[in-house]
Amino acid sequence: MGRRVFLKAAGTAAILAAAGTAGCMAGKTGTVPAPVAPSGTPSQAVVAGTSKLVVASDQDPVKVVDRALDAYGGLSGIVKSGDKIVIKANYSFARTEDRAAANHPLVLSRLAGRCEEAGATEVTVIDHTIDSGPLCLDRSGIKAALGSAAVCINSASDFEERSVPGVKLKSALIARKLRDADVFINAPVIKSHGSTMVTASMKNLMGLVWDRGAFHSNDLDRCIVDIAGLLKPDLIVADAYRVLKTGGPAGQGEIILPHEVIVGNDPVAVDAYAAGLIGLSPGQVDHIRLAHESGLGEIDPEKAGLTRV
Amino acid sequence: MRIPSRFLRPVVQAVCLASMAYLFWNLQYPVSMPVSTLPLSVDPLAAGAGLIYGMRSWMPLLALMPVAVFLAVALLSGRVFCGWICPVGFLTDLAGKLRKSKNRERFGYLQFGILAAVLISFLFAPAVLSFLDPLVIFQRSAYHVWAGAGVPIVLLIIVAASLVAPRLWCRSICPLGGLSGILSLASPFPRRVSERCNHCMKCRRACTMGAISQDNSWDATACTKCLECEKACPQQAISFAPARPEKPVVSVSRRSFIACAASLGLLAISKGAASAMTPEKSLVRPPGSLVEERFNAACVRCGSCARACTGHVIAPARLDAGFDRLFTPALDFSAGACQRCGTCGQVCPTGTIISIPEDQIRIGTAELDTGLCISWQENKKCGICNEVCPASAIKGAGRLRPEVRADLCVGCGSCQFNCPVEGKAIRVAARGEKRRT
Repeated sequence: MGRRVFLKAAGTAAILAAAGTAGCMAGKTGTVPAPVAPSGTPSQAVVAGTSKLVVASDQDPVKVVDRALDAYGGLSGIVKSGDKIVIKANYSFARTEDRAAANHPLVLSRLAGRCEEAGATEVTVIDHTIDSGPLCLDRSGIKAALGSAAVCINSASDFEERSVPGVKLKSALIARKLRDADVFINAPVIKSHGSTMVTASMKNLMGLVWDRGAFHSNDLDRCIVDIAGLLKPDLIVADAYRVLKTGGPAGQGEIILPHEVIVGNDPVAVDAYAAGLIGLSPGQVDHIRLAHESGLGEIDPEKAGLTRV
Repeated sequence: MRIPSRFLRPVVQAVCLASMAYLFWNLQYPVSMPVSTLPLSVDPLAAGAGLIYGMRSWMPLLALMPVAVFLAVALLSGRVFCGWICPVGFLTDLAGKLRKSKNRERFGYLQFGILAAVLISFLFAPAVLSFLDPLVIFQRSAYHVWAGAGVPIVLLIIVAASLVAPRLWCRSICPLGGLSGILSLASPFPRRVSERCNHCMKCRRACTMGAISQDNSWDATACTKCLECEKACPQQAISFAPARPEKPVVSVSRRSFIACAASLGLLAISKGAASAMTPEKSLVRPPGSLVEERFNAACVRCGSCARACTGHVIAPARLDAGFDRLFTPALDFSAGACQRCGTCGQVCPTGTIISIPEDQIRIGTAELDTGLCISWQENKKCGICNEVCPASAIKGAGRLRPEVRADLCVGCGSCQFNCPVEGKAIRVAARGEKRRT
């Protein structure tokens, strides 16, 4: 009798233990805290003559961010204490770190760190990835560097319809997170691009759009300019630590190492400088030229007040 | 000391069902091995298929550990798995409560006949488990419910059979139960009846497995150790205290032979009919798949790979692929693209799919329809196929018209999935695929 009871108890314990293990594993999926207090007002467009452009260079992916931001004047005027920050990065492809298809994880984590040091209470790094979200975060090394601060907005419910004051684009499904943020920082990685020659800050905005197939079947360059007219970041921090010079955006291609970070408020100026890194003159790149012609910014980095540190 | 509570067993069963449902749900990248795959890796029948069709990519000995535990439990305590753990058994128990049937026949000859037939046909095609193995059936049903991909018909039939007679399927058909039943003969916990017994036979009526015959003899191969007979006995004459197992009297009945032969015949005929009705249409299979014929023979259609797929590209084949291939995993590039992550191969219980190195993956080849492509037809600067291609297999960027470099294409379908053209100007076909033999 004793043994029977023992066996039953042991069996039950084993099953409960199994269930317990399973239960513990349920806790590992993190949830993103629901943001509140939408501000929604995009910051003012770059007014002629107010463009700021800083390019810092350093072998160290952390120091290069610090140097660039410090030379720009720090984040004090942009990030206020208690702010919620959204950083649009680029980890759209499930490539390993050495393929330079995504931001350098340390550049990104330092940028997030600087936002926190400036008083931000919540920093979320986002991308709407082309490949599987969890794979992109894993392989790019961004999950390892940023943990749960980096998320993928890969579900239709992450987006909301907004009207676009564009030439081709009249409306688009835009990431909700943007509306919920106090500060929007655009942090592209500079790469060559099969369709648009270069991808920098303006092309990076496509990762905030749900229905980007419409861009491709419409007029890609014009649509990028249209969306750049709607989504104006408070700051651009472009990652040119490593640059995929050919074979972009997905790779594999030639990788060069400028070890630079570009900080600016003028998307056209930043992208024009980035085009130079790929070996292109900005006027060759249709969407940069169109953006300049549409009054979105200065196409000559020197005229935008390029400062090198 | 009496039995704790009559709710103990249902609670344990419910916890087990919930655990398995949870493990199914949790079967996604990154898969936590070996816990996530436990529901099927404990299954000796599925593991047998794995032995035939390719061991797991990780340590074979470790892969067989859960099976060893399953067999050890059966040897020690009989069919406790059926009575306390099996989620299908739990559901049949619930259905059995809806209608009080008086049928208490064991149908052992049928169960062992079918087990023999399954083991024989198994050598040629483990796929027979797809509609006979309760753990496979549960996993696939979970997929059905999760994906909203139809009605779990086999599970419903099994559960409905309980309305005819309680646990009818468990005692007359289930090959996993039959296998455990044979091992039960060695269990040192037989049912014993003391001299207090007054032959009221309430125990027989309480037994849903037909393990107690009219003359109060007990069939070790049927008993699930649910202990209902012990609880039902007004004389407290029944116990399952440890004792030396009785030497089993093996009498292979003629009925078993007939049942085995009939099941084999039935399986052969249905297999023949299904193959004959299978259309020529070629399916694109996950990376690391066996060649088609062996694929269809080895796949138990559990749906694990489809659940685990990070690219959301694996979808069970529908009837238009033929009855023979119904519910085998195929790639649906309108829903996603293969990420070549190898998760499907990790979770496949039979080795139908295994994880292979990314550079060896060749699922098929993309083909461009220049008549549909907006770059070719309307001079549009689309280029998305080039942009998303992980293999640099699309020639022509920017305003240039794209072309597929078949020698570089891996067939992942990123181009097809992302192509903005309605009806897709670029599509992946199985042509050029590399399969395991």
